[in-house]
Amino acid sequence: MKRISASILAFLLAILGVFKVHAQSPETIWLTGGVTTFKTGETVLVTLNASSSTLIQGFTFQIRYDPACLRPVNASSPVPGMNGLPLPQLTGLVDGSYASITPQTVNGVLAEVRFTTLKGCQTSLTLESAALAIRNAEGFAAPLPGVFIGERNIALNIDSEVGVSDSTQQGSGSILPLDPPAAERGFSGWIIGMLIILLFGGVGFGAYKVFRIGG
Amino acid sequence: MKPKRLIQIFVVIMLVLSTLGGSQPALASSNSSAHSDAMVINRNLNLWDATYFGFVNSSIHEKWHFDFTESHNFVVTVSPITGGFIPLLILLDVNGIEIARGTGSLTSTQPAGSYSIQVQPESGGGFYLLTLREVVQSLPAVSTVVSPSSVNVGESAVATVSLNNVPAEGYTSAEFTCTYDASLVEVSNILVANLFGADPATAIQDPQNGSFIVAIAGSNGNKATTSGVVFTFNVKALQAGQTVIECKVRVNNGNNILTDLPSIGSSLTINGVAPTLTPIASPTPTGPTPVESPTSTLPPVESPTPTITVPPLESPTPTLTFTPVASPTSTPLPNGTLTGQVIASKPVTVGLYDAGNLLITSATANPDGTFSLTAPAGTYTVRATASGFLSAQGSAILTGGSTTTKPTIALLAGDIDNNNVIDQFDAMTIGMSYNTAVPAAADLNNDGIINVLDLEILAQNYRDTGPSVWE
Repeated sequence: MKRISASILAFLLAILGVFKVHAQSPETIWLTGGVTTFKTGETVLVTLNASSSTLIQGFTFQIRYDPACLRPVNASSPVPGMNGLPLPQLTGLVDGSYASITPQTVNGVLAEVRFTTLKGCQTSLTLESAALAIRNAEGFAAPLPGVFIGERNIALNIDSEVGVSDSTQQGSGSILPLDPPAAERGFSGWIIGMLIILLFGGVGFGAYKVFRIGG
Repeated sequence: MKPKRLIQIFVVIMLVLSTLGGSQPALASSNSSAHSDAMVINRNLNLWDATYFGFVNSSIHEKWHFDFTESHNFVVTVSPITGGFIPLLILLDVNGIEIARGTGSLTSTQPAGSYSIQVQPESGGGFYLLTLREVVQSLPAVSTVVSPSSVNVGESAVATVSLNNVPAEGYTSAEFTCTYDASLVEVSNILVANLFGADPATAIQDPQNGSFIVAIAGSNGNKATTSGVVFTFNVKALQAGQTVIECKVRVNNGNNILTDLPSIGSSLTINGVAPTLTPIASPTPTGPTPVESPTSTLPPVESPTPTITVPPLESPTPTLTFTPVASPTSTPLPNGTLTGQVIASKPVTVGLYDAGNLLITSATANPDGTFSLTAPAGTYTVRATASGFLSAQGSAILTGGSTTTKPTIALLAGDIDNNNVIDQFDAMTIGMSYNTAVPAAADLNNDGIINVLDLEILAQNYRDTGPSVWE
């Protein structure tokens, strides 16, 4: 009887142990967005959230977007002491990184990212990668292992009708300007425009010469 | 009497009346900051560099009104004509709130708006000459302008930080240290403008204990070459009082040395009138987990004072480590020499590896990056490494009795954690170690401190991967 009781007790302890581990809620990062339907020119706000029982000293995230439909405006972190490191951006990818000189607790909003809608589109935002960072023994930033990335995608429905542009209200904290390099955005259009102008100018000049000689 | 004489008398009478304020309405004033029982005569100040006459004593003060359509850095000078008279100047905003004061002269920078200078005796009294002059800055400087200059408790002002008289060669980076009275105001929403070109690299040490640091570096070769706004921030009034808000700057003109520039601050006056409280716009958590209070669990802030711990430099003299290769034949191959130059701001190690990736020999390059390696004739892989830099790698064929020279190569800085890619974690290491000296690999320019200069270097090579190809 004693052996059976001990076995039951061991079984119960094992079960409780499993439940306890499960209840610790592992480090998680996920993306949320409130409204998903927008008009052209309106501001899309998405929020990067995290739940972590480990103190962190930095985080990074990369959000893929369609540059034909959306233009990134900025990102900000409400976590006190998290300083923005606005590194060079790529078109189509919001690349945000923050670091703090002291360990911070994060349970909730890590960062808010704003986009402006450009035209009517069915598009989505995808959290391509994200990581929480700690400072390792050598003093280097290192990813916190075992971070689970939850919701990654936010589908957006953008109407071509022009809406009222929202005021870019920013939270406190360090702001990241997220515009990709200008050269990548407008250079080809500028060249095409110049070629069209030159073409029309040449045709016009040719016509003028022909008519002038004819007259 | 001749008409000419009549005109002369008329002009003299008008001048006398002017000094007594005869053409201006005289109004008793009792504003809060410059309160006195004296009668205050309102006068207008319309011209730069013009000289105005005035008269004050213990019972008559004069208030000169002027308007700015844009921000100006100016000096008002009052020169007494009467002996024993020491004038006191009080700069007031449109509501009559004191902004600044000075004896004999007053220098200030104010944004567009209506202002007045009240002149009253600090001692004595009598006639004086008043002049308003623009301060022409011929030297580079940083200015901080707060607009409006007077707010009520709970209201906010915007501070604009500008670099003035930027030299033609420009600045590749700058580090601003801003100070304010944290018991009176709260700083938020630091927004960096594009004076350093599009897409600058920025590190912001958030406001703590009345100061914050904004470090900005131009990326892709961009730099600040014109005067203009560098960044702005919001200042929210917490309680009544007056605080000077000033941002000092250290700039780098490309020589990797931070140089101090003169700075001009601004004063913000906070009136005790508390308007209806508006709740602070806090970020609304949209996730399933509520936001915890950020202040309750914060560990103590590390000391901002950098503790410079420069690791001992390796010997500049190349130390050769020669390991003879086990030759398959009994006759050893004659030695060949490999020379070249590797550019980096840190000590560089150059090594020769055989086909099995076994280190044959290595040497620390001289301070100028030149190196010389000797090994038996053969084909090797040559690899150059430096702490915090992407390594460079290529092939080298050594011929017995002769010297082979590799082309000069510059290592790319930023691979702080030595994982062969310059990425976000390298940047975060700089952010986590700001104003300290460790880890030494993050001190990319080897100046003993991790700061904006290192971030600037990293930003230039961001996303590069190694090893670099050494032709």
